[in-house]
Amino acid sequence: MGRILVVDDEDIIRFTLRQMLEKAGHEVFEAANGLEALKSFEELEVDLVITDIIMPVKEGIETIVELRRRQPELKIIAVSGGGRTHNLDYLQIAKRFGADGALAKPLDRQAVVATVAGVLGDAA
Amino acid sequence: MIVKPHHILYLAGLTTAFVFALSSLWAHWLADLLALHLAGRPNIEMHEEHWTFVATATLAAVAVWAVAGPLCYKAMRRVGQATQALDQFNRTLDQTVDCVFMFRPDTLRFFYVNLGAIEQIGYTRRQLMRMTPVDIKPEFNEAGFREMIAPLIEGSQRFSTFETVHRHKDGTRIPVEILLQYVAPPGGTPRFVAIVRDITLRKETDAALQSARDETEERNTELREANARLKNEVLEREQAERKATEAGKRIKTILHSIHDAFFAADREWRLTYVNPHAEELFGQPQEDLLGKVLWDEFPELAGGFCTRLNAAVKRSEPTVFDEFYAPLGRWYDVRAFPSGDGVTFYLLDITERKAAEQALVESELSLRASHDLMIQAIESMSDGFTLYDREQRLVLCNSKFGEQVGKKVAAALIGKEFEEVLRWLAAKGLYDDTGPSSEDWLAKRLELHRVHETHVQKQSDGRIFLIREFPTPDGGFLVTRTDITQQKKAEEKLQQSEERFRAVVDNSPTKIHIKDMDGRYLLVNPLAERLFRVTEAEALGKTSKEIFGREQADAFKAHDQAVIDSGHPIEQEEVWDEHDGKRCYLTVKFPIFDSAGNTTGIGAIGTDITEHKKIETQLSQSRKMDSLGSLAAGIAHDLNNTLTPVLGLTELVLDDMPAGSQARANLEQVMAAGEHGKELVAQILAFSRQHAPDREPVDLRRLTRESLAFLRATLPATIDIREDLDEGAAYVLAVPAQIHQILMNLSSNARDAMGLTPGVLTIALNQVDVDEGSAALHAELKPGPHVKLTVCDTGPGMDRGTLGRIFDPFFTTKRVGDGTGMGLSVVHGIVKSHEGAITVSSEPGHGTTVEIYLPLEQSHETGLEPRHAAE
Repeated sequence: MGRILVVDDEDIIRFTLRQMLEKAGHEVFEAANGLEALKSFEELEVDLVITDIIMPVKEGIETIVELRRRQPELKIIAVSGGGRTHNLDYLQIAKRFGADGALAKPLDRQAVVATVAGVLGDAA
Repeated sequence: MIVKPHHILYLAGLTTAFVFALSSLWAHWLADLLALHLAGRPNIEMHEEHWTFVATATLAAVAVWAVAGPLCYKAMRRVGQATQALDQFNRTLDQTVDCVFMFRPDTLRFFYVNLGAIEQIGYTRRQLMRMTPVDIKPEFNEAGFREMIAPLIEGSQRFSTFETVHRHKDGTRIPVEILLQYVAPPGGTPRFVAIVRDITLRKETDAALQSARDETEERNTELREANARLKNEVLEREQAERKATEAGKRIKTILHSIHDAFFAADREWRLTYVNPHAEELFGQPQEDLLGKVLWDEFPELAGGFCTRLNAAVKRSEPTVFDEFYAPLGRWYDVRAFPSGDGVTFYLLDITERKAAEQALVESELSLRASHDLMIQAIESMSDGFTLYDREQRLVLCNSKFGEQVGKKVAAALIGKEFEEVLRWLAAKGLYDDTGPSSEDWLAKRLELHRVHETHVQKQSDGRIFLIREFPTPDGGFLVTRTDITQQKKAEEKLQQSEERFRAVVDNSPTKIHIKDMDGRYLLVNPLAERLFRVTEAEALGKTSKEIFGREQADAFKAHDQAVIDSGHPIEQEEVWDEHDGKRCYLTVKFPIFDSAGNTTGIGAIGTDITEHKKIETQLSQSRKMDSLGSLAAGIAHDLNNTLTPVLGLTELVLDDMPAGSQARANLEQVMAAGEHGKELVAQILAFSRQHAPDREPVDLRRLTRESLAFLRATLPATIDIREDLDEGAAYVLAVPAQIHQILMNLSSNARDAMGLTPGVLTIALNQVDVDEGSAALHAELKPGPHVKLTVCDTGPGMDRGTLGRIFDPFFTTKRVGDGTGMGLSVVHGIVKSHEGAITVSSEPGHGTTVEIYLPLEQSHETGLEPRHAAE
């Protein structure tokens, strides 16, 4: 099982993902935005960062780019519920900037578990 | 009673008569016969035969006395009376101054001469009784004498008058005038009675007169001629006098009737005649004036008037002078005519004339000033000026004319006739258009002159003149030559400008028209002609009401008035019917000002903004859809965030719920609702998605056919599905599932529109080239080859309001629960994300047609590798 940092500005999203991932046996940590994630991910020594794209303070794409720059082997899964003003395909964009997987909101448990397993499995 | 011898003789005769008469009548007849016989022998001297006769008669008378006594007495008394008469006759003849001769026609012997005859001839009566007229007329012989008296005897001549000469006894010749008459009494003896008058004195006088006549014959002739002349003169003078008399009467009448004062005075200046007007002048009636001394009665005339008159009278010459008569305040033309009888005056009231003369003097001064002014004006004219008299001769020209044709030439032209002037100037080469034949030019010019027609004359030096002729009241005319060279150039420029303006107006793609302040059209360009459906010629001068009718004209008029009131351009949109439908024009109406800033008209330029409006509508729609997309994206993002714990946590809780429990059942409903919400969010995202992910070259014809197969299985049998798939290239870059979704959504809408009513659903596919214009109508569309997918139904169609909202998310005309209102929104989003365009046309009752344009994937058609959508 892995150490996973969930980054999302919505508490309920972080809570839901924690429930899903812990039930699947993963150790879950939380960050409310990209800046918190960048501050804590090295200290927590996580295997995977699941990050939302659209967030305050430091949004997801920028966070992914910085995470990838600082720890290239880190696994990253991008999560998006669509743009707030434009329905860009953020997940595609996130993949281009270094995300290893993508999950579309609303999050489906099977899809989350499978995607995480897939990403961590690749890493393994 | 005295008994005379003849009484006795008569008595004897009577007695004799009685003797020879057997009856009283016979005796009476004899007595008469005897008395007459005796009457021819009045001489009382008895002759022998008398005595014989008497004796016989006495004897006879004695014999019958007893029987015829009473009758004889009566007869004798009558004889006595006859004898007495005869005696008186004889005495009378003797006392006459003329000589009386009686002679017998047969013997020519005298049987009676009176005392005058005896004295004239000088013979005794007795001697004469034995003589004949031939004896005392030396100019006659007997034959000649008888020949002369023959006509008298024959009766063809009653008497004869002639002059001859009697020879006196002493031989002297006495010129005599003889009246000879033949007397033949009935029953009596015929005789000649000659009355002879001595004409010696008359003859002498005649001779003297003849001599005098002879001497003065020539003088008489001259005198006659002089007389004739004199007579003529006398006649003429008489006529003249007669006329003068008549004229005098008339003059008197005239003098009474004339309105001028006429009066006369004698040598002592006493008034002798005053006509009615003079009475008015003097203020007194004629009867009061006559006999009055002029100067006594009117002392105010004793000044200059009197002095002039006295001088005129001394000279005995008529005088005329003007005199102001102060009492009446009037001027008079005084005419005084001195004569032997005095002076006659004729006073003509010339106050008006004086005033007129004064006015004339002033007028002449004014005229002279005017003339000077006119000359100055003519000289100051910028035009050449020439004046011709009624004989067509040039009498005046100004300096400007001299400048135009040459000063020396102008001076030489004075006095020349107009035609000569033209010839002169033409010969000088002044005119540019005389051509090869100056005579033709001259004829045309004279024709223009005949009607005084204004015309333009170009000179050889390039200058252009406007020639104007004006007839003058005296039969002449004047000509002005205005240099219009600059004006002509300006006109040419203006004309060119006008032509350019007209070219712009006529070729402008905009509707242009101009109206005057009365709303009448002054200009209508071809596009306006087309929209107005009238030609410019028909529209000019007419108002909008005359062309379009009251209702539309009132609207136009209100706009025009708004422009006039505001003084600024005003825009308005107008809709005009054209052959291809209604067209929308944005018309700018603007005031037209003159140089003084006054509004003189209203101009209008209308631009066809139909396509612009469509673009605007499309753009508006596109913006609206963008806004909706953004909104939808935001909603979807939030919904997804919301749904994540709903679905995720519910699913986790469900793991702990025992199977068949109510709580699990409830949570499963929550899950189902969440899933539905998830689908909706997915549709919203499909609508708002700007780029379709993972597009690939697909054969749209094949995809369509696959969808048609599915549709035939799902749509009711009342819908006739027809396919019209062009065999041309139909490859597009697309997400196949989304293309399928498009067909499903559109077919589903068609099905719902047609309901159970039999209808036709047509799905067509063909390749089209989108030009720049069409591309401009759609923000997503680019010029080039496209595949057009058409879905057409025969449903009830839509009104314009519905049509404007069909792409709005959650807009639906279906009943609640029958549709989400996202079908066309999703289609719109898919088409847009495929860089295509969608149009929907529909009218109530005419079905609905949806056309989708997707860019043709040419690289695939040409064998090139299809372009990846992500690249």
